[in-house]
Amino acid sequence: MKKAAGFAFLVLVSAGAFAQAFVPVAPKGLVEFQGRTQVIANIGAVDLLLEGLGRTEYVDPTLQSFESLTLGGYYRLLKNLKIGAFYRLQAGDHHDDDWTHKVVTSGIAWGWKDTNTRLEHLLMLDASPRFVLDFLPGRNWVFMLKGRYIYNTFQNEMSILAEPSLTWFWVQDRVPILNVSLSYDAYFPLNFGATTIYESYPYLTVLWHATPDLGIELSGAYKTIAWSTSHDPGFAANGGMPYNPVYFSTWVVSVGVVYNLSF
Amino acid sequence: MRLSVLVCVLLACFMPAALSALSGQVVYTEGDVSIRNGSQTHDAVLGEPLNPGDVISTGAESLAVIDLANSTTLKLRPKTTLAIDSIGESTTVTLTVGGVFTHVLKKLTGQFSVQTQTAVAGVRGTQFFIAYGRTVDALPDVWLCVNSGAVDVSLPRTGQSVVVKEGFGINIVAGTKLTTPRNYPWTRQLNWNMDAAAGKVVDTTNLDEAYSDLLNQDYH
Repeated sequence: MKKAAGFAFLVLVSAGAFAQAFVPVAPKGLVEFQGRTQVIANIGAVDLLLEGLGRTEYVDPTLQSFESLTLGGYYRLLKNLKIGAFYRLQAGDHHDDDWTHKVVTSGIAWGWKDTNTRLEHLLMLDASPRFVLDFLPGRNWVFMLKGRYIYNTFQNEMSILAEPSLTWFWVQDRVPILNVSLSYDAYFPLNFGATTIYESYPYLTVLWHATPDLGIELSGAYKTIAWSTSHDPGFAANGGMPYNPVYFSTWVVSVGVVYNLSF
Repeated sequence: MRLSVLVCVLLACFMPAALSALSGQVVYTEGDVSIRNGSQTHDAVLGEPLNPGDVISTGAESLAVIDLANSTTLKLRPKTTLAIDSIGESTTVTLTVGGVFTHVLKKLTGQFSVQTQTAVAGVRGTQFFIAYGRTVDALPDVWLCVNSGAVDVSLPRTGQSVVVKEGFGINIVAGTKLTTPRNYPWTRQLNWNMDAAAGKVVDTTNLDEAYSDLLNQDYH
């Protein structure tokens, strides 16, 4: 139904409402569900990675979806440092300029473009220093700070992801049984938006090592996205005015399966 | 006179075979391999007989393949020391350092066992690997995995025992605790070949891979 509609619109029915209607409406208390499958093939100092991810996504009260396929790998440059390079193909992502207008019989409508089938290509480079914090209780703690440069060929958007995380490993008989990670992702836009951080989320992840090759993951995040003024040509042409960034927050519940292959 | 000559000839023909069946010999070496008996140590020689009391040691980047009683073949990894305790109805060796691959023929009529500081692995007709791991606690870990057949592993100190079946491995944690047998990915890299004519004999598996590296965990 949403694809047939093409747009998810808020229809204006009164002139009084028009003054504020071009501002995106932030949903509250919504929950998005995410599933992902990841295969990691370890070949010496290289970890090849393939990930498929799907997520329901709210950009307004209308539900849409996001899907991505990521391929790349990490190289262990030093004992405490890995570098990575990845390509991602994704669909269903939204950008500031996807907030636009449409003429309907009852007047001007504002809403988000349906991006479910719009493909985007991303290139990512990252470095992730990590350290064992064995002075903490339980000893098996690792702190990691991932820095990732992201280039999205769609609109040539560039951003930096900073991701500090603290992970505790429950190790029994020299084998990890469970990981618990507390992480915070912050995306800094380099050439778009009006905010320093356009997306951020703290999240808690529990990964159970069901077998040496298979991990089952459960994660919960509180995601916040800042929507800045749309620069879609039709937005200003139809009375859209600059507005202060609007913050959308949703809960994201994720389940994942991680396969580890060693060669 | 003729009879005594005949007896001597027969003895001359069959004694070496009989002795060989009850002793062992060095069948393949690479690098530095030495044999110690009492206070005397010398370099191993191909075909050299081995007897109870002999201690075989391999140096770095070295290996040795030995045969015991024509029923058991052992491949010693680099930096390994193995003592031959007995050969015969009960063949027993003691691993003091390093790791060893063991191939016991099904025709073995007696018992064969490998002892470590803390554990005993007893088998009949099987192929398994046993090696010392890291010393995290007071005593070193001992890893064991089975390629074919089954191995009965016991800890004399605690009375614990477990049968490890084909494709599975265990860790004897600090020599005091038997883990539940499981399939360890790192064991797939082990080179079980002991026949130089059939290909590479050396095993280069890094036993550190048996341990989880907390700095090498990436999940997204």
